[in-house]
Amino acid sequence: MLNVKNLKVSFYHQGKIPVNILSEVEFDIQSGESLALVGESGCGKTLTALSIVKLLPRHARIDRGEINLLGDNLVNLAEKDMLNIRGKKIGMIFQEPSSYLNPVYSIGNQIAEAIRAPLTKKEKKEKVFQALTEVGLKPMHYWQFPHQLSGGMQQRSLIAMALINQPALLIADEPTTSLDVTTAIQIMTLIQTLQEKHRLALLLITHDIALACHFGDRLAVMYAGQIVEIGPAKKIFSSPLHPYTENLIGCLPEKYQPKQTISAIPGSVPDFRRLPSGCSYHPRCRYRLPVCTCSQPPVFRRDDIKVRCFRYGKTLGTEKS
Amino acid sequence: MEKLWELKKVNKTYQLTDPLGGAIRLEALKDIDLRLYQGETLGLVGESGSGKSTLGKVLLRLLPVSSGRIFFRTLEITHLPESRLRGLRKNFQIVFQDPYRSLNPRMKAGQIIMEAAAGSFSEKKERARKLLLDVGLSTDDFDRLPHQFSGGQRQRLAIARALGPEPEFLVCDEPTSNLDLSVQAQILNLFLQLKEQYFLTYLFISHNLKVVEFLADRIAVMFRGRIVEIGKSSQIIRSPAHPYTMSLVASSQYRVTRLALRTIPSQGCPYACFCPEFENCCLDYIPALKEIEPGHEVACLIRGK
Amino acid sequence: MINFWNRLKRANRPACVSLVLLLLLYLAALLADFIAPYPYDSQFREYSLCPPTRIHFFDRDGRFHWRPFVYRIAIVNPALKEYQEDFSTRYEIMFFPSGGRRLFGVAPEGKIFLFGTDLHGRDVFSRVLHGARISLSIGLIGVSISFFLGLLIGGISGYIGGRLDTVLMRLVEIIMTFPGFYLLLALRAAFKPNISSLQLYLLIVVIMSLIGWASLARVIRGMVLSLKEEEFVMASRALGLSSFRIITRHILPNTFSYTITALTLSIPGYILGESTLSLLGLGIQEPYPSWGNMLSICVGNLRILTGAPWMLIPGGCIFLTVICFNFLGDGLRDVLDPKNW
Repeated sequence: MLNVKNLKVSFYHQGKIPVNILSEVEFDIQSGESLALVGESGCGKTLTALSIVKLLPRHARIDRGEINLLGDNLVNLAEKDMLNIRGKKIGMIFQEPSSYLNPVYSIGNQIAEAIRAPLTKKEKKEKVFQALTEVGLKPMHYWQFPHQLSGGMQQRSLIAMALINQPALLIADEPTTSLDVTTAIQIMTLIQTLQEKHRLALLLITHDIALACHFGDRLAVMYAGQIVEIGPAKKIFSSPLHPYTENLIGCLPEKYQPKQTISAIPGSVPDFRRLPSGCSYHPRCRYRLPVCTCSQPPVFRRDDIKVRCFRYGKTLGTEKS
Repeated sequence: MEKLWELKKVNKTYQLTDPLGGAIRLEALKDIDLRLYQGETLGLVGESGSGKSTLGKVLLRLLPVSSGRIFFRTLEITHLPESRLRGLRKNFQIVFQDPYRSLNPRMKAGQIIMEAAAGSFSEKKERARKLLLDVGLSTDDFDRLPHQFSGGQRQRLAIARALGPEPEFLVCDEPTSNLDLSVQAQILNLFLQLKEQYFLTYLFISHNLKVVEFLADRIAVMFRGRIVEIGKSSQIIRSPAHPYTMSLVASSQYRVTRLALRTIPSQGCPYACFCPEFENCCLDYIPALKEIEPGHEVACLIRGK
Repeated sequence: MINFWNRLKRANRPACVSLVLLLLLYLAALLADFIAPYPYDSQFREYSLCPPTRIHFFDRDGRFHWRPFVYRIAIVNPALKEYQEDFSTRYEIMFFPSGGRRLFGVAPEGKIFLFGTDLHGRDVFSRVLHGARISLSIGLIGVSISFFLGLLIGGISGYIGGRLDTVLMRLVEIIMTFPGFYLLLALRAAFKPNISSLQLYLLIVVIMSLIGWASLARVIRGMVLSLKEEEFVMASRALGLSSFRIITRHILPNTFSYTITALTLSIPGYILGESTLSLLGLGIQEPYPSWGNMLSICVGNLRILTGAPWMLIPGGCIFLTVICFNFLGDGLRDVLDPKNW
């Protein structure tokens, strides 16, 4: 369904050296499957999502790579062709639902606006009612304005908007981060239900690794613009391979007895303009080997998990097995 | 244990006017009765709109109280004039949620902490340097401006400032909610370490039950301005009594809870419109906190027996 | 200081250049007595409406002279005000003549009118320099008064709120409704027609700034109201700091990026205000020059505009000053943002 190969994205600010953010990003998602992309702020996960729909920020450019959706490479597609993809083949929902709704139009109006099929006004209205019911809202909400709805209900309307044209892929960028926990679980369950019902491919982006492993089939962990581990979510959560994944899971307070010292990761996330040599994680890694400081680790495979770490190479320096 | 704070029937109501001139009453806190003991960490959980942040600020009299009484140890501070209150303020401080807004962008880190400390200029400077190291920053950061720090570092700076006047009590208002997981872990460790080092008492406010479970001795659960349950950490997590607490605990463990959605008149129990255990008697009056086991109180007609 | 300069250079080239130009202008105004070759009121009636004197390095024979010189001005037709350079007589430009009291000049028989002369034969260049004193200082003094008043009243009103805020803001609104210009005219008329120029000058400045502070106060009050709710201000209250300290140390400095920029952009208003008054004959009186009253002669006088365009030079000076202040204000906005430090 969605296949991203060797994606490289950099920022080209005027008068400064280009800064490479995403490098060698590779993953795929089948229909009906959900991939959770996990990482901390600044690791490049939102940029990945934006690259797929080619809504890159002003100074960013895709240097190389392929983004194949249903057989078409989106990287080469012109902007006017991308208009057929966004909203039709790919639906997106974002973090702060209130920012993505126009405050002066009713939500029914806005959802109807998203419909791309050439239907009459009456047909569109019918379709919106259907969509509202599907996401757990009532038909009467058609005439309500965003500020009259709670955060959870706003997010539901955005989900309705994203799915109204029956896309093949849904990208959810931190959909529950700004919501209360009870609402968040309801929204995530809703997304899961809809995904199963419509056989959607789902790319779920979040910084909450516990949430990711609970609601995702597969997990991709991102650090400093690269995917360092990717594989079945529950398997990685119970036995993580990459040291960063291990450390990140180790930061969850629920893994500890109350008031026990958490083994937090020393140091902090590196600046993209001053990445460490070799493996970007090596300064913070307790398994660091000499080779880690001078070469970038290629991707190794352990059963169904791919990991970017020298500890899993058959012999050091082996290419992708 | 010595009682450090007591709130008696504290109410906080905002009188707002909507754009057309009508009056809106926003009841942020309703009938709050709370006791806080020295040396403990009391966790305060609730979702947005529950009033937990307001409680923290009202406690420290950063927001005026509409009715009720606030006691710091044995002294009633509800209507204490600002001049007297100022002298007391060094005993209780606050750390805010957003590290990007809680620091004056024009002041250097060292200056920010020095302003909080007491004594001569050189004493203040010494204390500022010491606190910078205590919170995990370096003395090189003394002359840096807030925007040159990362979110986690800024929060450390905010904690250092709060410790400047040598307080014994700290209100932590969602201090890690805006931080990444790895940074949150570092800050939580810092809170634990500082509590030991400085013999602090915490009121730790958060919407994240897992964090509160980790840090707190006792937990109070708030819903729409009221405390609906309070008890020892283990009691709340393992045997939650109030239906709202049960749904919070379930959600934090990624279990969906069945919530009813009734439209009922706004009287009686505030949770009645969502409660799966609703009975008609719940509409009759607002339940008060009742003890169901030692140290565990719940405000529910059905569960409070 | 050096930091400031570097930051300005980095931020905004035009602002840098403007700052330098403005400093030079103010310096020239300060040293007007020294730089100007003639006193502002000395008249050379024979040379009325004389065009600017050309400075030469090469003479008619093509010879280069190290010392720049001017030719004698021959009066061809005094009635039609026609002049011509008399190539027979050269006057070399001397620096520091008459014992160093002036920067440059020529021998008394020769005349050097760098910007030409006006109707009465007065050197426009010297008058522009002296006029600069009035026009440029009015802006600075006026703005200092409004700045101080605006910050004080706006800051207190916004922070304390309540009834004091209501009273002060009503006062501000009343002041803002005064038609400032007419007030100036009325007050000017109320005073004796021959009050000293200094008193007149002060009157104009004070009145303009007493009206000007009101809108600044209102904006400051608005900013203070929102800054009051900022978390770092609440943190200062939690620390037990006094209201005075909170206002001066935390709130007001965070209004500077607006205020200082607004001020540099309002200085031109004062300059133009004074010029307009002078244009109407109600400002600085003859023989004292100000850029405004030097322009007033040109009003409606087509003959001058076509025949003696150098009379518009004071207008060009106003234009230059206003543009420089605008660029400077723009650049200051970037400089004062702590994110750029």
